[in-house]
Amino acid sequence: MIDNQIKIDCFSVFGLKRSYFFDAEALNTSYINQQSESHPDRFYNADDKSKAESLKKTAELNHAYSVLKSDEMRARHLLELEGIYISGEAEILQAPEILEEAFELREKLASADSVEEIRALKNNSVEDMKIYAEGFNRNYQNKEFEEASFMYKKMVYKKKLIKEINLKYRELEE
Amino acid sequence: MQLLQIQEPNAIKEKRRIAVGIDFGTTNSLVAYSSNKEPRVFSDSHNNKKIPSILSVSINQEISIGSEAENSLNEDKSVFVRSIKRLIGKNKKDIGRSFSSVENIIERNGKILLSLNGLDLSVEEISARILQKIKETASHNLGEDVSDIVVTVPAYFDEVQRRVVKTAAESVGMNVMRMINEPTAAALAYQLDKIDKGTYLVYDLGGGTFDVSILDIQKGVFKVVATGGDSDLGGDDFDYLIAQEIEKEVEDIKFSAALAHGRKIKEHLTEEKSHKVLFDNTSFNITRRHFEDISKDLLDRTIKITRNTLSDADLDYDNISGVILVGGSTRMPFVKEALISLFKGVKIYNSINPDEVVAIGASLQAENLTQGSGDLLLDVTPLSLGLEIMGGLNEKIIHRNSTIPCSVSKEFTTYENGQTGLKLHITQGEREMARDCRSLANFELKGIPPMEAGNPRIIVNFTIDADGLLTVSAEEKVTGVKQSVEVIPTYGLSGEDVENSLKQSMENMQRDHEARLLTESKMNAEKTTSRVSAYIEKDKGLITEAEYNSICVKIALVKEEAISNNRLKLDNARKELEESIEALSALRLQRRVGELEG
Repeated sequence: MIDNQIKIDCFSVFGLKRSYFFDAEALNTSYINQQSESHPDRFYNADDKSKAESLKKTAELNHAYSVLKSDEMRARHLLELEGIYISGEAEILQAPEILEEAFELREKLASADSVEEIRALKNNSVEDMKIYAEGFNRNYQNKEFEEASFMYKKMVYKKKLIKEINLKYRELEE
Repeated sequence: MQLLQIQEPNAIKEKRRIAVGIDFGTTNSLVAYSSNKEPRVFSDSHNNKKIPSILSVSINQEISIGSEAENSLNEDKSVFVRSIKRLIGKNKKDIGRSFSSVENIIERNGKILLSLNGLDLSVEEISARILQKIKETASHNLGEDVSDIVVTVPAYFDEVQRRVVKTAAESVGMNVMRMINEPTAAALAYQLDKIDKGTYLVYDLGGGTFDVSILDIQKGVFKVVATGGDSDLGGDDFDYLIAQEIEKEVEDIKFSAALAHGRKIKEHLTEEKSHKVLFDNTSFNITRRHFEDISKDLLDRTIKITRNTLSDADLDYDNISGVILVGGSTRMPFVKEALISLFKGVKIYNSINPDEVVAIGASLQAENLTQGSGDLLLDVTPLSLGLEIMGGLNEKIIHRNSTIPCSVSKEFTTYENGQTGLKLHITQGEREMARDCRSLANFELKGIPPMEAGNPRIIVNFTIDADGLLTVSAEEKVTGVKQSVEVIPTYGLSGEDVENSLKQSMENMQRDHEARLLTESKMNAEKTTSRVSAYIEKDKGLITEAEYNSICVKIALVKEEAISNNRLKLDNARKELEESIEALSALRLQRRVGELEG
């Protein structure tokens, strides 16, 4: 299955340059301004054609905005714009280079039974995410796409792990 | 000579459009109208702003609605329905304790009918009658017929439930301009656009439901970032607890009577430190303190949901600039106290009557739409929408908390040679397996020309419009065969289902992920064994019996592990089989080369 929506450059929708680190404020401003102009609520009394265009335009804005807002989706999108397509989450999590580390951390998470331990795990993971993000950015800038892809995969799995940590944290709290 | 009267084109002024906002509530409904950003809530002919969402049928099958219906409650032979909203989009087995007043619930063609003094009315019809009453109230107040409305729905309502509301309104001649979510409408009512920007949390504890929404507000654009709730938690549950206390102390009281007292006592305890009710032979006394003690669990549930919704949005308490209170139940003093201590003194917005705030927001949205300007609402879809794919997996196409309108396309292909149709099963829910999600619709894309498996390119598109309504279409790119389907309002997901679905999804995330991996492993294993079996049968003469038998044993082992549901063992067995068949085919190639050379 191929995602059909990658054809548009989500950065150009908001007049932004392609880059992993970007001006989030400029994104917000452009998104809000464009929504204010093109949302179906502004075209309630218009003809059907304008209504359909408005729906299409705002759906595209929402899609592009959600891609850029998410660190992993933004990284994936940058790779796709370079013609590099990476498999879905389930396959990434099973990739041999990820599997071993993931297994180790899951064990740690499973055996952690105090709020402090979980918090430490989370802090470490969040730090790792920052390192991967910087790594991705460097590799991407240097056009080392294979390395960038690897960083991206690490981000996906770390993000998933953080989600699991949060779940466990909630459980312990209750 | 006849004089022709010629009218200047400019003199034909377009008639001013009038639109009202309707809060179609579980217990009461309200209607408001806004002009120049000044909203007004209308009263019915009994001078009630809160129009009871009640329909009653007399012994002569005369229907009364609203205040009239409420006044007829004491008449002996009348039968009445309240809280009809709780039945929207549900089937018979979902019907809970709130419907004890209706004895005859019939299910016909998947549709629920309520038999009231011999009159059979569907949930849709009852909703339509109530909406009609509200419309009449608005028309009466404005002195002209109003048909354009903005109607609010709980944030957790799915397409089917939204469609039931829309169809009901349309069936009595109303034009639904937009459906908006209740908590979002409430935020609009405070006209926070005057404030530059901020993140606000709406805490909406109504009669029967609890909703939390978090909104980012910037330059008059209200963007919902996350929504959560419990559709089976509301003010009624607090009444219930008091009723139980009454039952303990007052002998021979009917529970329905105890419930009515419970509600009144709860309301008194908002102002008073304790309240006393006299019964025939005894009295019942309860302090606010005691009431708060027994209902602490309910309050804690709302706090937990609030916390989880914040965490869904990656936010913490100190990211919130203000908390907006909606729903009559937020009048209970300990609700506000709990929120103040949780959000450490953040501004609490409760200056607008919490019963009226949703209708007021809806009326402002109605004005915005007629003007084509003003504040803008960007809402989200409460649950993920997806498709069942091979192996019964649920492939999410649109994820929950996605901003609407949205449109997502995915490309699929066939998996059998010469396949001419593709069945699509549309699901809603967070679980990994389609069977654990709610089934929304089934349709089949027909007329795909027979091609080799994997060649057709089928684009499936999911579009959710600004009302939160879904349309699914499928197109085969090579031939242009096209089909689309709308979700038909017959039977859908109930609020409880949304809640359960989310809860189960959280609890099952681990297990689901494992289930998904196992299913994938099984599919891979099946592909490998059928490929290998075909291969060795075809070339039976070219390999030795020992080689043939050894492969058969390995196939059997894979099949055995597939039944045992041990994913790692299954993957190993499959890998082993793949390796040995590769080795065998390499060996065969060598032999063949040897034969040719020899």
